[in-house]
Amino acid sequence: MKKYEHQIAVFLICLLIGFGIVVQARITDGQKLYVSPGVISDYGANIESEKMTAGYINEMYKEGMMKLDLYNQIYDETNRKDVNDMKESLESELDKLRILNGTERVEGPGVIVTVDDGTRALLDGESINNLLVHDSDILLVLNELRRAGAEALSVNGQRILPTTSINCSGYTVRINGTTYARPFMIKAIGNGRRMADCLLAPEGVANSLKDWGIQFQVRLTDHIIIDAYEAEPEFRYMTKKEGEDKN
Amino acid sequence: MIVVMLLGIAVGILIGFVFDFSYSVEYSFYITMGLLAAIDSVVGAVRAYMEGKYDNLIFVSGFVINAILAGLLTFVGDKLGVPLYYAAILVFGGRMFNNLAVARHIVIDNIRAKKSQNNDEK
Repeated sequence: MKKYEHQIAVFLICLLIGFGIVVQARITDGQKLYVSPGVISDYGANIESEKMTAGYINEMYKEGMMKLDLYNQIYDETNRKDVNDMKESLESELDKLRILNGTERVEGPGVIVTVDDGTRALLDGESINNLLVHDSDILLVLNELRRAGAEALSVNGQRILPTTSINCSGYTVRINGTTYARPFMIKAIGNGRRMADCLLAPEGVANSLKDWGIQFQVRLTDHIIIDAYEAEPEFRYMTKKEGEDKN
Repeated sequence: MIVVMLLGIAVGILIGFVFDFSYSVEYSFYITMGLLAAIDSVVGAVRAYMEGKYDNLIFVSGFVINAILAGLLTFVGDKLGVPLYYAAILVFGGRMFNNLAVARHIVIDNIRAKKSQNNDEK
């Protein structure tokens, strides 16, 4: 036995070498060699975060499926007519809210007001500002139109939302973050006669603007189309208040 | 001796193919270093055997200690962000060629000696 001792040791180590080479070659396949554990742990972190995201998505999916089940249950329990009634009422409610929100294209009778810079000659030493249309002029007109019951408004095609701001930027006016130059065409859907009367009243906006020399024109129309606000309105701070609570 | 070595490698490869053994890729580097240490030890053993001063204890202990040191260097290098395992690769690789060269010289000398002996006999 003593005689074969060294041969046994060499045999065992060679066995280890062969075995190791095969296993290593199988695992790395000549590709994943020379990747330090630091890189591997980075990948590990990536995989962990992906797994977490997948978990969230799974939860969302489960929630959605639960809601779907609930709706299906309600659908099964009530008869078809009731469901259709409910659907119709929900849809009409949605349309109403969209119209109110300015995210739906609307049509109806109303007025088209055109406001443009004055063309008269400047008086001696008079500022050019007196002849220009300002953001405040547009705001006045819009306010007057709203007072006269305008239901939808747009300036140069830009829908006026409850959150719209109109401000001056040089010789142009910014509305909803878009810049517009003269002439300003204000469309309003509502009772045309009433709106026109309101604007053209003796002490009204039209006369005051005309006194400055600004061109002001009101046209009654039976059919006006006002485009929707292109972007989806988003609220970053405002959320619905749940429950009754005194302020 | 050579027959035993070849037999060992053959059986090892066979075992590797038969058993679907696998481990985490994280450890593959350490396994590679261990492999290098083993190959170095075997080449060293061949040289010692040729020189006629082979010692079993030196062979086995050399393999174990070298493998441990190589693994340690790899580990510390990874922690420090410096590829210290280069040292192990260079030393093992260099020594492998060295030992192989010595063994080759001895084999060639033996063959020449035999030839001249044969010629003398003639």
